[in-house]
Amino acid sequence: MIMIQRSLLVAAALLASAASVQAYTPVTDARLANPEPHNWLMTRGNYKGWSYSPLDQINVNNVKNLVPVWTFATGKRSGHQSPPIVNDGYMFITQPDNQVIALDARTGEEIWRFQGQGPEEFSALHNTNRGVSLYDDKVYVAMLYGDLVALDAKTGKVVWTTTVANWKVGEYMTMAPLTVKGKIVVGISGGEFGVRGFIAAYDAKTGQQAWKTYTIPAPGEPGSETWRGDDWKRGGAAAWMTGNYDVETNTIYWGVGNASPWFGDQRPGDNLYTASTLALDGDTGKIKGHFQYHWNDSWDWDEMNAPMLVDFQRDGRTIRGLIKPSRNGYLHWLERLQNGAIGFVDAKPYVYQDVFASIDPKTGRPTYHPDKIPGTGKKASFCPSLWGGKDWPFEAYNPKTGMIYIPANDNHCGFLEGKVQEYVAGKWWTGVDIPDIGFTVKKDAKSFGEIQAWDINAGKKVWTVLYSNSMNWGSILTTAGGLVFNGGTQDRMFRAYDARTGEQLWQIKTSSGIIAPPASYMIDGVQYIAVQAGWGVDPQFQQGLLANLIPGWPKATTEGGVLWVFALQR
Amino acid sequence: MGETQGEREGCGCAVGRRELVLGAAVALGALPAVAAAAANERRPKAGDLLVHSMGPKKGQPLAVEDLPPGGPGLLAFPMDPATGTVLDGSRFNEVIAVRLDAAALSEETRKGAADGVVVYSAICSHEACPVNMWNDHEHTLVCSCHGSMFDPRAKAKVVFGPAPRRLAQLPVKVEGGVLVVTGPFDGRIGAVRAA
Repeated sequence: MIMIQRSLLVAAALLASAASVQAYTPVTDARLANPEPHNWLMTRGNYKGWSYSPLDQINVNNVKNLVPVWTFATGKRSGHQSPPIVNDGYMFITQPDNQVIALDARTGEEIWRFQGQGPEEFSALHNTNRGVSLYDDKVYVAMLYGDLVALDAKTGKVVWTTTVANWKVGEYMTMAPLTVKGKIVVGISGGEFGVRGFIAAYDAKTGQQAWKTYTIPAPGEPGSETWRGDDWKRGGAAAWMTGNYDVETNTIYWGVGNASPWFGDQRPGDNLYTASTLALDGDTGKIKGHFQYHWNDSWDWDEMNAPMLVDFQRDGRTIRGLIKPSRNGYLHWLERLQNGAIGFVDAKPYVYQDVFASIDPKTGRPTYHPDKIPGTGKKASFCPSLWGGKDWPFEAYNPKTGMIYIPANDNHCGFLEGKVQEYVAGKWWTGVDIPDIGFTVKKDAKSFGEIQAWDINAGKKVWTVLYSNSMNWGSILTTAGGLVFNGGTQDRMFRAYDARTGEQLWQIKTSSGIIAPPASYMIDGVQYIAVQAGWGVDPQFQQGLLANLIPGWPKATTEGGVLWVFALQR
Repeated sequence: MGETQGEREGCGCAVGRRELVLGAAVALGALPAVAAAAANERRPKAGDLLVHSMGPKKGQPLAVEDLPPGGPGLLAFPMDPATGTVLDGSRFNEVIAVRLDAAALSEETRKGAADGVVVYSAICSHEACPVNMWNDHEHTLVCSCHGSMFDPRAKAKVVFGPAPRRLAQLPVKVEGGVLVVTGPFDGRIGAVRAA
């Protein structure tokens, strides 16, 4: 009897705490176009992809007093890669295994939890999720196994479910959706399984498909001349990261990944739109323009991250720009033209890259050193390795410093030799077996992971942080407080740096490696920094390879997800 | 909670605190509906043959002579000899057979082996990816997603990578040069996860 009474009391307390969360503020086009500084309404903070918070309560002078105010165990292992999305007191985080949790962003009380139920036989190359998108009174999340789900933001109840991707042929989803004018835009993963990539939009209210744009043109469509025969049907070009959006021109910029199989001689041609950025009409998904970073990809260098929308100066002119530290190791400055076309401005290597022989100054098209192109029965080494100068973790732009901040990895190379693999639907089909993926580090390397700060107008590197004992798999958050926040190292640290100088100002040892983007928000006059710790997927796999190469390299970083929320000590 | 394939569509899986309590009560009182498995989905059992699941001999019985001594392995599905049904309706039925030196097998492994041939589930215990690759230096079976390695001489125990447990072994004998299953998998297939 006593037990029952206690249970009732606990239940009442829990209901009371859930009820204490304020009413839900609907998310509108206007709010998304101009998000309030105290919220974090989308993955990279704004449509331009800046990963920048205008809050400055936490700043270079007081960040040393930053302390955890609450934490929350997610109950999941594998790689946690989603930022907290915050809307007036509600926080939404996602985890591996198709989980979404809504929390009171001030207290950490759980409001609801959604657990997607995937098919038993689904296999996950990347058991992860990169976050939710918001619109009106709903929360949108992509399931690994291919469903897009709309949840009621206040209760977590399913409003609608739409199947986007067919997991049986290797299509799956990990990205956060992008909300654009009442539509929920998503792209698929699966470039290692011989998919034909696509980006698609769904009506936010009903889940009805509004448009679907393949990232490889069908015969007869513009760009189809860059493919041979039927190669386009299984040509890869997955679109596995969230795009950015230009409100002024109603243009979505979305990145496209590697070609499939990995070896270019098995699919001669430029292979549009692999390794490209696409410019899509925000209403129809029609392709308005593109820029291909490297043609006939043979290095598994996905260019899946959309460039940041940043205006910069060149030759006395302000350019409506795009800036992208590319996986191929070059930092690209591009131009957003009014008709949707993408112009080339400049590119220079930001890590050691030995594949490009030259870059055409007008078009940005590279030429290659032939001995650096792996092929079928032709082994070749190349730098950087297939994980690139950076992988998907987000760079950031701080308008107060005029600098971008790149989580880079240097001094690693790869070698590959292709073979013809029999295509089996849903199975690995890259032309090389996992044990034969060559990965090396430079013998005399003194560091691997980096943070690089570049002046966008001068086109010059200003400062660099070097990690001698880790790669950097952490997304960057920069703030108006003059700070850069970054995890990403296998030692479980989360750090803050002076955005102008790169001086480290604060650090804390967390529960696991941090490979999720940090976010910042403010409630009741208190600024918070929040980030999920939870090591897994590619950083974990790469760590195993490094441990075989470098004596003393730690073999593993502990798994298990925990959300950390920090504020200044009072 | 009584999850079946058919229930997945439109699953109302949000669990608030009150729903969690109510849901648990309902689940305790209700038996999950079990859909009848298609003939090609059942798990292998004694008497089944193994047939190549890909390559030029796809569908043909897997013979010891098909397997290169010392690896790599070959993929196969079980086949019901009475009906000729290949049990490829479930990817969890796919196995990988490797031909090794019988003397190199552990005693436990040898119990399910024949003429040095060992057969294991080709589904990784980490994220259920295909284990269909071979490391020629370590002489191990390799997962095609995250590179976990399994020692085929020792019950396919994990020797590298994130996989939490070994692969299930499918015991076999050799009859007329081809492999015949002698019993069910000796362990669980696939990954342990909530969803």
